Amino acid sequence: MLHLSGISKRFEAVLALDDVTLEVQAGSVHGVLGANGSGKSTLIKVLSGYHSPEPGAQMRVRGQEVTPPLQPSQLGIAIVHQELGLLEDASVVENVGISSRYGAGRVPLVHWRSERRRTRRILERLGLSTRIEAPVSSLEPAERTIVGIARALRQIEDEQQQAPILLLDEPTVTLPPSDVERLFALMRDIAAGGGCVIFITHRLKEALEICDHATILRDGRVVASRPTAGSSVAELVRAMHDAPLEELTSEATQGAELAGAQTRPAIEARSLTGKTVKDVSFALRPGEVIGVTGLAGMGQDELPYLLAGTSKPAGGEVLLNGEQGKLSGSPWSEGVALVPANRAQHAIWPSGTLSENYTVTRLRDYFRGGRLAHAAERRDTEAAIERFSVRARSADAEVASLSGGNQQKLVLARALASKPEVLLLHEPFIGIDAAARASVLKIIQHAAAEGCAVGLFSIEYELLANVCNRVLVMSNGRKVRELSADSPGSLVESEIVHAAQHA
Amino acid sequence: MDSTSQPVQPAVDEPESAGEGEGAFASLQRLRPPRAQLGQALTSRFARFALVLVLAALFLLFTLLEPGLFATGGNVKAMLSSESVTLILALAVVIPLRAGDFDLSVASVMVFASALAPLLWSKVGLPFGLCIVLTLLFGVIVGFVNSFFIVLLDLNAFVVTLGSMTLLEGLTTWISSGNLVTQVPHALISFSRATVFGLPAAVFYGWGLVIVLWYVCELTPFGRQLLFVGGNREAARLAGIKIRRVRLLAFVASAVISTFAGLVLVGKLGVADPTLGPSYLLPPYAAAFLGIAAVQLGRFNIGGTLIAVYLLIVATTGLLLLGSAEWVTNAFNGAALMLAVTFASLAGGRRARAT
Repeated sequence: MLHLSGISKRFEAVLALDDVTLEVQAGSVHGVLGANGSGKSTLIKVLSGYHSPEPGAQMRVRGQEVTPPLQPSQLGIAIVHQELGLLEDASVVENVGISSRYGAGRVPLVHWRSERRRTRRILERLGLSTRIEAPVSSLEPAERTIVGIARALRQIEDEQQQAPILLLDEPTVTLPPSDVERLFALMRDIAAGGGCVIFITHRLKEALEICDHATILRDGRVVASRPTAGSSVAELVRAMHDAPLEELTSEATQGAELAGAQTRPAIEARSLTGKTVKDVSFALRPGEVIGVTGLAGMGQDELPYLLAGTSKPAGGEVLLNGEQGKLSGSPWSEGVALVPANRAQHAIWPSGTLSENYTVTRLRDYFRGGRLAHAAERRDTEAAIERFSVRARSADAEVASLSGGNQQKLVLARALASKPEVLLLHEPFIGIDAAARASVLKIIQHAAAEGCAVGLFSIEYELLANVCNRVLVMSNGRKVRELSADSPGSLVESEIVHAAQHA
Repeated sequence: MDSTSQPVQPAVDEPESAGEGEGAFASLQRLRPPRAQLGQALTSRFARFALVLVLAALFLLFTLLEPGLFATGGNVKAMLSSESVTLILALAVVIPLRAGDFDLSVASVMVFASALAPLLWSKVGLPFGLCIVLTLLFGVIVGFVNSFFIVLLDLNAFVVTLGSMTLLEGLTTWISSGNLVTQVPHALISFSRATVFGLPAAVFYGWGLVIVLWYVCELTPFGRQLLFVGGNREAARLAGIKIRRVRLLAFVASAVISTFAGLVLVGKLGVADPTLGPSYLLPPYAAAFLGIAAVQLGRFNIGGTLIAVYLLIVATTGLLLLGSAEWVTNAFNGAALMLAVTFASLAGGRRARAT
């Protein structure tokens, strides 16, 4: 149904795609897998017509030869990008209809009533009941993803294409398990109806669950393309990385012992209340890794910012080392390091250099003898790049030129550079691949072993199970359950999932 | 083709190039290209100072086209002197721009200050020193008032300073009754006109300010924080930068520098002209935006602004001497601003910063 071959793409000296073939059959769900930097993103951009491949590429859609660049909307290809590209200030209904020009014909008039009806129907199918007049900026991440998907479905409906092609780029990162199930059902429906779905994901388990066929990219080349039946996650990981993944050697024991020996908490919340958080109390001791989770939007998204003092609490207090924190809104100077969830919007200055981004929280340390010590900044950044294996040209490269996982490692390196007593991580695994996740986990465990109190605010239950000593489950802003690990890593993912769903 | 269904361009993951694979073993298989290859370094160094070459080329061109007219000591002196105030204003504009904010009130602040100081002296009868202090204090107040609306109430800087610009224009007409203020203290005139190395002192005030602000922007934490706030305000806040304080300081600095420009202006002209404001708004912005194309590509910067101010005056003076009509100055400045913005957006897209 979709046939691409001989796709290459060169960016100056770098060959991002090297003679890639992608063949997607009608009636199938086709996974595209690969580590960060494997060429996945470039391939998506070729599919969406953002890049033209080098000459020599062959592209056929539904048997028709097409010349690059691809024009997805004319070929009946609906795309949900990872970044969604929603209009923040526009309402849900305006966002859903925009790709299809709200069904307006030659006379450009919009029938808002039928538009609202259709939007409601599509959203119902996806299990979202939100006010469709609400601006997208007021939605939670999971709801936004669903609006993005609804827009693509709306486009498919409008084109009345018998066999739609739907491309989903990492749609599940923000979705809770129940929504993922609904999305998978929908993908199966499309495939069963003779269409096809191209599913790009980091989550190999999901890929195995939903995909019939998987194409695996590494260093811009297709290293495997085969049916998924009978494959295991381990096999996929092996194919994606030429070396097998090292076992997570846990320094966790050391951290846990440290935590056991400590009595005074590094940070403590007392009846903390915010916009979504209600009356939450807990203490976090040095060396401890604590997970805070729940279904999407249960308050775990606000908590790290309340603890760091970058959002003002409506009530309650935060104590640092047993003392009432000054909470000046600048957590860094008080030994609290914060890694926000939304890297692009909340953590980095994309057009700044690596070194400018790395030193920003400690500029005062580099202000020596009346001037910023540029050389020292660069030297320390190079050292951090080396230590956290950030793939970058140099400390003077633009941060925007790094892949998501590498940006995250830089943000983590920056957080740890201030030698924090408390490290607060909000969804640190979003948009990074399996290998980068493993290194992030290692970094977290290492920090805990050195005596840092780590708070991990995430809905990635599996990762929480791997690394946390305790997991707090939130529901509607309240802390409703607390799961403790007898020994590090003894928490079971299914237990956390169950607690979150039945909280 | 339906433009709304255009692919959404990812904001962050942009050039994910092959060979940049990453992972737990990244350090093992790391292929690090040599730090900015020589050719690339040369091109980017060339790009950083291309504007200087343009300036030199224009100078040479007009020298050849207008022998004995353009490249004379008198003309060069006239150009430097005429741009002394524009340079100071352009510097005032760059500071908030670095933090991502427009301050459109600079020219009006300058004109108000240029009328205020002599009026306090002649009409109110205050001692000269006090007049200067009060005038500078007025600049501080304007900075705080602008910041109150922009930073504290979180309103759009462009709109707020459009308002304060017009408000100050009105106030200037009020205090001067719409007339030229002709009684200017002698000290103020010699402050601007005193000759140093054959040039009026006003020229050196601009250059001195260039050095001071270059130091602040490049070598102090505040200068870096300005850029970070301008580059991503929310990330700056979460990284512990006190963004309100940074933006407030930027507006206060901008207003005080504009006030200083007003003192230099009235000394230079010998009168305060309440109608001058509008003609001093665009040139500083044209220079600030054109400055993005030099020294630090893609960023508002002091060195680039200095080069741009002189590039604009060389071009317009050259054209006037060739016999162009007066309107050429405005047309050229406007076109240069548009070109500069275009360039800035292109340079922002792919900027190779070699060091």
